[in-house]
Amino acid sequence: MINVQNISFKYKGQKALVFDGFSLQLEENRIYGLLGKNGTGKSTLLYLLSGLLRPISGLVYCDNVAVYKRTPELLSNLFLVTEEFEMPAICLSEYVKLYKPFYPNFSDEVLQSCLADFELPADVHLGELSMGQRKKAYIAFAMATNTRYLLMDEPTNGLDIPSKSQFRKVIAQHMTEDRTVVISTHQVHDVEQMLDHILMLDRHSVLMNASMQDIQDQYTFEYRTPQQMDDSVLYAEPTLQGNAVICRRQEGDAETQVNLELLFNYKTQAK
Amino acid sequence: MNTFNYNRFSQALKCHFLVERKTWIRLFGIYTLVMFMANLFFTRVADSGYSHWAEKYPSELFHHYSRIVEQTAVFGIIFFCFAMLFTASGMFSQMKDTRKRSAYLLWPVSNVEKYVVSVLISVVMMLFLTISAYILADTLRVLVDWLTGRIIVWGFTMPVMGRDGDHSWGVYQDWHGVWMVLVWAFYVHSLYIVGGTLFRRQQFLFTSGTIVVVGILLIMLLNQIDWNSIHFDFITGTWDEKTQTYTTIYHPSFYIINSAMMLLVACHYWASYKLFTRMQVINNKWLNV
Repeated sequence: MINVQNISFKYKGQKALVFDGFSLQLEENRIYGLLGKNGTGKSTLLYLLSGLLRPISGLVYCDNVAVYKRTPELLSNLFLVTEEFEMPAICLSEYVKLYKPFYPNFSDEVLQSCLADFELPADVHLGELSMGQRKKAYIAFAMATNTRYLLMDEPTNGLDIPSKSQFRKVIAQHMTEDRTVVISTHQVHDVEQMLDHILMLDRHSVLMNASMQDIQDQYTFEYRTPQQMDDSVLYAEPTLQGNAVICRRQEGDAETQVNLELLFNYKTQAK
Repeated sequence: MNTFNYNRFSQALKCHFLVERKTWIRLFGIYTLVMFMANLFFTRVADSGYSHWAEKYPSELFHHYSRIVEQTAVFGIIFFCFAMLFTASGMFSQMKDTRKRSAYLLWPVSNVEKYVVSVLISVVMMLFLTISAYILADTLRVLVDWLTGRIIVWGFTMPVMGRDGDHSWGVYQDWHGVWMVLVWAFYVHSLYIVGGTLFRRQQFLFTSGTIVVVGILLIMLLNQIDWNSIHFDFITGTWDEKTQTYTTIYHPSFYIINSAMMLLVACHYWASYKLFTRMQVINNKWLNV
């Protein structure tokens, strides 16, 4: 479990706090979607969760160990897929051979399966790949490490259209009960089907922290004509199919698919 | 918490070495080329009198050419010192941008192991690489000499054996001298190790600049002291008329100061390590704090 305890953080040379008295708890066996406007601190939060940044007050614990210590035991159980990442220009097979000893739960089967899903050969040279292909190789390696905590910052950026569904397949296939996945993204449509918990960040704090089931229990997402608009509508946006609306779910209403983009706009604009 | 695991450390060292191998090869090539060109400059351009000596004083030719080749050895030592300081200040060059920094900091290796790997690569590996490049450059110079009919005089043995293989470079004649030179060399090197960890960019320039500024300030401060009223002996010497020999006397202050310097070297390494453990993925613009 990752426990963020009352942290405050600001970057050196900046006056404004990114987080002020921020607390959060991330449970196992969940895929968290981390959403927020630009500059609300999504990447900063991932850096704080992985120990790459140190809060000015408060602490972040991962399995009761303060993450700023960056102990090898902690790091071998935590993988951060950064938006821009570093992979040396060597063969993927050599990269795997060199780095897999650092991850005790590394699985060659998972790697082969992910590479196959991403349509990448196992003996590819990383220096000869496009940015998107390198990202797929990087995600495949991250999945194969089988770390208990997998943090991803904009993982679908740079991936082509088929790769985005391949990505969803890879995550869904290799999600295990003791694993916690946090995906920070602006591309909500790429990931909304697989998320089971939403964290929405606002300046300094959490704007929304709810499971997908809770969201589905509370709201309905549908399209309405202008004539169908009534007081039950909490938020609406005009689209080509009519008005996309969020309504308070009433007893007897059918469960609907969550429209994360609409929910995000509702939450951020209603505030 | 396991801070040092031999298997993990050796894997990390192997990993770091192999991933960066292209950089080592490139650096080795550059160093060899620079020293080879310098060798050619000293033996072919700066000294144009080889044929004159070969023609007029053939018996003196070896001695004359040895003196010329000695200049290449001196250049090699100066180059070696700069190379070592430069790589010491670039000890964490594998963390120069956010991507590399996050990859290195999240590597599941303890801070001690990461630090020792960086020190070994930037000190021992670069020592080996620079000396190898120096020997290769000298070998290439000897090859050119042989192809053009010149006598064979090796330069790479001179820093250890002296010009005529007689340890004629005075520093080797007394272990005190060797100790003092080594202590000062390690002291200056450790300053660049601290600078390389403290400064986020242009580490060599900023460290050199800081040393110069602090040095000037220290000299100005020391000039305020009336040294005539202080009796301070470091190294003195006596000349014996009977035996016609000069004896160097090393006073206790010599041992105290050298020992204190060694302690300072250890402190610098400790400070550098502590700075490293506190490094974050996004730091101050100029300093790694």
